[in-house]
Amino acid sequence: MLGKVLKYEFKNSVAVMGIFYAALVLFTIMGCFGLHGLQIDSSASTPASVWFGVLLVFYFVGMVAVNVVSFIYFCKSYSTTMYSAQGYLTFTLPVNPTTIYSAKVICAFIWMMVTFILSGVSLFLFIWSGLTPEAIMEFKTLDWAALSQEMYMDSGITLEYLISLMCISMPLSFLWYILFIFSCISAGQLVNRNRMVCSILTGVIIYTIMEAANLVIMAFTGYYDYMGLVMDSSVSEEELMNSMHSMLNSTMIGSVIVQILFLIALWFFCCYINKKKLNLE
Amino acid sequence: MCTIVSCKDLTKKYGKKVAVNNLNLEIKSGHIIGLLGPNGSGKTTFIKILNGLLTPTSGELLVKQLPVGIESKKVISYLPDQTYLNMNKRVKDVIDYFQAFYADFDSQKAYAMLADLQINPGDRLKTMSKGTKEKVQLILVMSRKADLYVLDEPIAGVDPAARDYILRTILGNYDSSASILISTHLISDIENILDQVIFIKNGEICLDKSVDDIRMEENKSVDALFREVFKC
Repeated sequence: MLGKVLKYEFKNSVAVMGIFYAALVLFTIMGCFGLHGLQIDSSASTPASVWFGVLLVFYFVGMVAVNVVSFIYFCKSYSTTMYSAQGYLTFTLPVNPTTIYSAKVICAFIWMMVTFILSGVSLFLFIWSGLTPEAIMEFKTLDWAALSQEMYMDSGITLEYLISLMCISMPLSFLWYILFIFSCISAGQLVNRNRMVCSILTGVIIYTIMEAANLVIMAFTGYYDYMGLVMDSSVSEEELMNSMHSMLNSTMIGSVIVQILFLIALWFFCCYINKKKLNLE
Repeated sequence: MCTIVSCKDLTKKYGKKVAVNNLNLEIKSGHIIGLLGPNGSGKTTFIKILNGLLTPTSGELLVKQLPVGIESKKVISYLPDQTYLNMNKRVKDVIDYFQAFYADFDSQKAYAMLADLQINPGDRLKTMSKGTKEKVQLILVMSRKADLYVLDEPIAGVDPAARDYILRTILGNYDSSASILISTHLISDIENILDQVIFIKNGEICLDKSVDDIRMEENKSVDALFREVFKC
């Protein structure tokens, strides 16, 4: 049944997301054209360079807008299909409410990942369009191992480790935003009046708890100890560096664990509301 | 004749306000039941609880001896009192959707009824008038072979000709072994098709009788009795 629900979720959203991606392609072309034009015509403030600059602005604004608006679209869609008039159809289907909720989360997550990847490709093309042949050659011959080693000396983490951590934390962040907003919307429908206020309050509470948890993680991972060492002038640079390496590593792992725990809690929170506390008044 | 819905001490409160108050009733198969009451009497609240759209404060509601859930939704076909479909969709898309999720949905029947009304399945719902949208929704509901059809205010807000069509569609397309629960305050229009009436006032049942018994015992129509019971 999850597959069937997912199929219709994607069917309902593919047209809108197609429009967003077409806009992204358009903005990318504008950005590449603008940057390439400025690179060629960088010497003077000619009218042409002004237009190239305008295209760059369009590109950056457009990139942000596509990502933000697509996220807002899924939040609005969740609210409309679950807790407005369309909720009458959604919740009278012979489908477990948890399955319906799961499908909406999965669909929103996949589209956000696709948007992120396409935005990354767009950014790469944008940067590539502005590179000189010398810069391209330098990029191609870059010693990644040396770069990774240098990074390890400075921060205690290698480039590979950072990329691995980003590959885990980026999707977790997307899931976090989706589940956070969905939870606020679900909590809002518990009341008959002032649903928006209830949603905002829920958001404030969840965010506050999350921040408190992060502060606790920072205490356990030695962040405050490290700050104490920084203030202590008798501590050697090597000792400071070792402390920072250990702290950074632990903090990043700790943050990921806290995020996963919160995701699980928010998941169950929404499932409980949809199954036991539905209020389509 | 079996019991499709049994309701025991069902209560729904919103803070201090009691929408449904210790409701006890049974709906048996093969009946057309009118759930009648003035605005705010608890008709829609009860119907929403029956369809799993609201959770009761207390009490029990069973559909074919099972609590409200996936199995009850398989046997109940529900027409809400408002437009609940995605207006950007075409009628044929909605039919596909219903076909995918309801095993008892008959798409051929749906298309036949659309053809009778000269409604183009390729049209988007947002291009249709209010009355036409309601007809589409009714067609979707009546195209299912459900055990219980729950119609919440099916004839409110439509013209008299459309009302006649809706009532003819209801009578002409349901299985006689099934039951229909119609909630309305337009008694005179539906009285002739009802077997049984339930009067509900302030969330409580004040009458639960067959139409024949009312006419024989009270010597008046259901509409007249309604006006008497709910006199302002």
